[in-house]
Amino acid sequence: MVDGWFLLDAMDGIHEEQLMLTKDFLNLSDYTHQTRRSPRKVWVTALIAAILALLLAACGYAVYRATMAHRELHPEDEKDYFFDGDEGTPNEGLHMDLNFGTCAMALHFDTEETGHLYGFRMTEGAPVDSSWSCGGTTLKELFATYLPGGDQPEEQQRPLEQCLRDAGMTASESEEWYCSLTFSSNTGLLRPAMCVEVLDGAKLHGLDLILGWPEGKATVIKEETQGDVQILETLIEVPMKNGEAERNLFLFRFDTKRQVLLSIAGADELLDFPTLEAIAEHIELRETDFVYSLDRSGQNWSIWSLAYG
Amino acid sequence: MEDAAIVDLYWQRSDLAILETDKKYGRYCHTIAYQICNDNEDAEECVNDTWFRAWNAMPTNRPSVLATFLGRITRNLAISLIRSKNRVKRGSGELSLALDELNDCIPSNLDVARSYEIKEFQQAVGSFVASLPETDQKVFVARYWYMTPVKEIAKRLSYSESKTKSILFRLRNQLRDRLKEEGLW
Repeated sequence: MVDGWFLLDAMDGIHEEQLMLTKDFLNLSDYTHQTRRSPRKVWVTALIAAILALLLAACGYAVYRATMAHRELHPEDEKDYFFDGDEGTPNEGLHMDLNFGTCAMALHFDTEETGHLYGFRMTEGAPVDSSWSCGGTTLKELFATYLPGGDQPEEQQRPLEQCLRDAGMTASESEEWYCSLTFSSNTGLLRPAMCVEVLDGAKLHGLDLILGWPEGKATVIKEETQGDVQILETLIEVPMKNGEAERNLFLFRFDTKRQVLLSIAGADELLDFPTLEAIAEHIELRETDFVYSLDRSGQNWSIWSLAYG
Repeated sequence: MEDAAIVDLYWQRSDLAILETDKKYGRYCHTIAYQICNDNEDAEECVNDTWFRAWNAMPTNRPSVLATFLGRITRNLAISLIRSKNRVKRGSGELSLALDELNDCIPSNLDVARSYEIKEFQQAVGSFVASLPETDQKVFVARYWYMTPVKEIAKRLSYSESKTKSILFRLRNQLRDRLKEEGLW
């Protein structure tokens, strides 16, 4: 209903410039006719806000800003990458120098331990279609083979139906969303032409993704932030036995708010960054209701390459 | 403290953000709330609620003008408070007078069956005010956004009250004409 109240609300459309102009005109900060509030109340407000922030953080409702950082690796790098030996008790395995100091780059993610499982799919108009892929993992396959069972202790194993219910999707839906997709070429290339993968915060928690193994070289082509998304484009060159170098392109888009990484890796002979960017623009991410954390038994690294996916 | 530094404190989730905001904009927001509520306790409540809203809004917001970002929150809270308490009575403050004046601005042949979008009106009001000469902008915004008493506006301009009232009357008519021109009624 249009009445005085409605017009009063419509006054909210007045621009900042006019509000500031009038604020100065009225010299509002110098008004003294009202009783100033007690500073104690402000302290109470601040205290409540601090407690609220702690409570929200504890409940997982606070806005957590995850980050993606990269650094070059050098031979003198002393990062203690942890490797859990086959016979070791989890977290008591071997701490060893895995000689990753000669790799090109490590990407480190600061994410929360527990997070939502994500999937992706290609939208209409994408330069490639998921049906062209030569392999991949759907969310259904992930649930069926890994999350409910696999490495999980028996008491944590859950039937597929339960997982799908927790994820808020039907069985047929879970077949339409992927965790990874690999594309090959018909050019005789031995490695895949392209790999697309989504890693959520739970998968990335405490992890370094190692690029350029072994003895590779990294060149950052682009690094920028668009809103909540950190973007990194890097060329990784790895020397081959024949003296040449395998050159792979990596496009990373890390959503700091949703804590999810989209990784698109492509062979430099076949693809370029504008194409990878166009593909990224046509990838739709889906946050499932499935909340989980991963026990990696203390392992804090993972080799990330086009060949391994 | 600069606004950007205060906003950074919010983003860092530091409770100093609220103390610094109160130090810089407490009086400003209190004035806005007081003009609407005409009551110190209510105004105080609105200002404290404003700090909470700001705390919850940053992140993810990074307001370009912190003063008006906070002022808008305070104004909306104060209006909602008065509206929910159904406390608008004649003589209860500037809000009731401003409402009466704005009611004059609504044509009698308004199509009551039509649903009106507030956003359209907000855009129309925004562009209308921006198109006014500077003095008219100050008078209109002071009266209908800040709910400043006519007497106070007149004093600031060194005008008589009757002259200020006639300026406001002219501006309301102009607003009504503009809304008609834009097909909003």
